[in-house]
Amino acid sequence: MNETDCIRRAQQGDGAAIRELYQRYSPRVFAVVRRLAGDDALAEDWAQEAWVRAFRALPTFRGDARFSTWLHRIAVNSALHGRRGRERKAGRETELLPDTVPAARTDQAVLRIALQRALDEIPAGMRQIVVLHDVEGYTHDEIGELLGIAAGTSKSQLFKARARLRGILQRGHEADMKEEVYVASDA
Amino acid sequence: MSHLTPEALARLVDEAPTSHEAEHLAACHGCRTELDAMREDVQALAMLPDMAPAPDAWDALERRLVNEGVIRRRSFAFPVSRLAQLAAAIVVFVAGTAAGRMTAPALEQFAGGPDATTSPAPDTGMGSTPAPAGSPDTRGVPVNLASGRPDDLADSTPEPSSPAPIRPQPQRQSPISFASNEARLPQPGTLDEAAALLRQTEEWYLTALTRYAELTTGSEANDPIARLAALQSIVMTTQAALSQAPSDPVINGAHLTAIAQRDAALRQVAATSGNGWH
Repeated sequence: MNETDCIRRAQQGDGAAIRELYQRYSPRVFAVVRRLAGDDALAEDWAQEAWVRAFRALPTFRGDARFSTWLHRIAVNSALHGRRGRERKAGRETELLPDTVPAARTDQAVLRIALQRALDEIPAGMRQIVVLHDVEGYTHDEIGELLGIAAGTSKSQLFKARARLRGILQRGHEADMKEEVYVASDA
Repeated sequence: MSHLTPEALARLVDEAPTSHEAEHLAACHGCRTELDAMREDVQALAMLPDMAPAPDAWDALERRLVNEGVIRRRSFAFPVSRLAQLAAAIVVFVAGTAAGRMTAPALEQFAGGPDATTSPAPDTGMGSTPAPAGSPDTRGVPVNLASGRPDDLADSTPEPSSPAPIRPQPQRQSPISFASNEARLPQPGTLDEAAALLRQTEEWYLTALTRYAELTTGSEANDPIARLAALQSIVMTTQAALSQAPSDPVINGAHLTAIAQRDAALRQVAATSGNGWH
């Protein structure tokens, strides 16, 4: 079944078509929601909410944009909506910058894993901007529109977020180096 | 010489340096290294892979979409998790019943053995609690199944030449009561009757289990295709159990009941789909 047929049948409530769309795009949707959420349990709730919103709104999808783009935007909006709901309950987080010093590089696979963990550690406000900009490719203007902030604010928050990530990665690297020293001295 | 701040280095990933920053970078190996590292971070962020949701995420989503009416025609996809639950329940039932038969006093012993009247079971309302000696028989006196006579007379009264008929117990109210047939559990008088009762209760159990599944899984179990698939799974389970114990009456009963239910579901599917499978 091609995507157009699949979407048309899903718009009519066909379970098989809806399932196929889910299977096709769930890794992408879950990835963006997971990174914005910062933890698995929250991400599962938000991802389900994103899919429910998407399938509810599917009858209004006219194909003016690519389905993946349309769905991605819904996923991001759902996650941001979920984040705002949590912030209203918990109050906004304060953000502090650590001092950083140059760190050695690791290979790309290890770096990606470390980055994913580091993303989970930074404050939610920073995380959503770095995820939207550096991971998902949104511009500062788009982020400003999504979050209701000025593009300049998005930019300054992004730089703080990158600096924070670097600091976390560097601390992780230093811990690894200490581990290696201990292992070497034991040997 | 003061180093560039982390935020300034983060900005330089996207923007050109000022003249002062360019001079510093030219002279400072540490800041150049840090800027390179930050550029590498940003490149890696753009290449982070997709992430698979939890395997059961679709099940939960599908239930919600069905409940909200978003899914109007359910997928015919094999309901693996539901099948597994139902099959597991059947396996537990079959294994538990078989184990019970092996560990509890055997029917033959219950029918004629010395312990049959000396180890009363708790009164479950199903027919074997002895009445107090000398009390009128208003609840059904326990019967020695070999002789068909009341237990308290078994040792002192000569046995009749033919087994006494099972006495009906009209006053006895079974806790099992189905709206459709007001079923009562009779007291089996012979081994064959006990086996027949066992098969009957198995059928009730399966009916109740099916209904339970329907009630706990919402509208999903009303899907005849899903039900058919679930019943087929039960048949396969009991068939596998039969290969281990081919003459076991309990497993045979469960297997025959499952087959009957499956065939009924098949007829229902055929009837609702008009000319059959498409």
